[in-house]
Amino acid sequence: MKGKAIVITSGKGGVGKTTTTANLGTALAMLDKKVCLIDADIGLRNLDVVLGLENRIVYDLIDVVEENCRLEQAMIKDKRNPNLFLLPAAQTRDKDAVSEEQMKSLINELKEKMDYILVDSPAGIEQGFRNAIAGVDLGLIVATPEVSSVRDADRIIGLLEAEGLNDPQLLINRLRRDMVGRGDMMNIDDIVEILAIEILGVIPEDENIVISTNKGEPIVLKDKTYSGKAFNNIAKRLEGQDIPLMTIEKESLFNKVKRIVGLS
Amino acid sequence: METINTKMTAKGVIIDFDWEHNFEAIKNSLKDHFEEAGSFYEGTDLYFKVGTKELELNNFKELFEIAENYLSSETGIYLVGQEDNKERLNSSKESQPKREPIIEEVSFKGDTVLVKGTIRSGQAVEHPHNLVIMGDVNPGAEVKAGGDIIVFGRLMGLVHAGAGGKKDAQVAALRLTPTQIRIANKISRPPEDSNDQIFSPEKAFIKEERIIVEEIDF
Repeated sequence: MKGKAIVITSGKGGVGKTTTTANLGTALAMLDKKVCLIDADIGLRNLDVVLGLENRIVYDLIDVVEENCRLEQAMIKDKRNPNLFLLPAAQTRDKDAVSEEQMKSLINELKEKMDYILVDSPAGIEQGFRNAIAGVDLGLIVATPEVSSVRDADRIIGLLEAEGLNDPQLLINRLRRDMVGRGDMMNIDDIVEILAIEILGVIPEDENIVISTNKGEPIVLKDKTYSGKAFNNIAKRLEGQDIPLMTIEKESLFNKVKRIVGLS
Repeated sequence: METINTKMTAKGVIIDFDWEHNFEAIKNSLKDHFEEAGSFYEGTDLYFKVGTKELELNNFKELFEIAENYLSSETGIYLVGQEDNKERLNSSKESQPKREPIIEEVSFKGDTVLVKGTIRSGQAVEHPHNLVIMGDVNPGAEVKAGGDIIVFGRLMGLVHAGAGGKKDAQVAALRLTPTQIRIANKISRPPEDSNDQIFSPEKAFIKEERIIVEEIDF
């Protein structure tokens, strides 16, 4: 098996890297792929909380690189999906506790066992970011439709290209179609025009995300929600399926009736 | 009286602070003392005698940091209280006799360290013997001791008592709701989706190779 390693990063904090990692990982595991999530945010770990696995942590990433335990001992199996694993970060250490070389060899080891390795990057462009991108094959940039977030995403794309990670893909998170409709929020085309990279998916703003994150249950388990559906579609696109972007613009009632009766 | 006094015992060296002096002066004389002492403290243990002084966590840390700068990691540093201070409190400064004899009565049996303040996410408190925390232990924080752990507050983080393998170690807290609890080589986590809200103090210990939690009987 030769898995694909993907880093989920943004530069700016609070745009949804951890939520994306948890949901995309769960969605891929639901497609019967073996997935390992790595929390690279050492000292500020959250991925375990979002997945509801905090109380199962015995060993962490630092224990693995310092050889206090074997890799398999530190990998926590998800309580809902046997295809999904989490390699948690250490909470009482800092970013310098692991090196880029150590991350590289860790990811290479995981590639032999997994279909996908998703690395949840910390915010920022310092050592933690460099550790997170070490050894990965693809960069997924999460950006919200805000000028500051797009600016930081642009910076990150440049840094990834400098490291030889060309052709990163874009995820636009927390899009509000009502605000886009009123012209109060950047729309997808604006963002894609500035960043000039391929877009992998759009996740709408959804208050269910807050509920699911607080409960430690990924939203993709509820396919009825817009955001859950969006994440499931992104997972399918990663798997090479051709799924069109969900229409974000509000459908007029007339068009909706036309669609339902099959005229368009 | 000097700002600090030292005294040799079979257990190690006791450093007695005179809190009548201001904290800066105490810190400076502690630094000077370590400068002079050189490698004298190799292989011996050090006891900071705080007496009845209520030491702020920050001050306590500063003292420890000074000591750590000069001492090798083999040297243990402990805090010691004072057993009976009524006499001292009642007597005026002038009429106060030498306080020396009290030192022999100080108990080293427990080697218990008291930590005041909230232990927050990412912070870790570790001690080879017993630990008493006056404050909350938040989720994401780690508390580890070779002996017992008592939390006078809410225990919500990770706790490991008897870390060296002491199976009769106990954990007690005013509210015992840890993320994970470890005693010696046993690991346990609270049942998920349980809504029982227990507001009374509880303790955890090993019984028949399992970690048991029960309310404390007063």
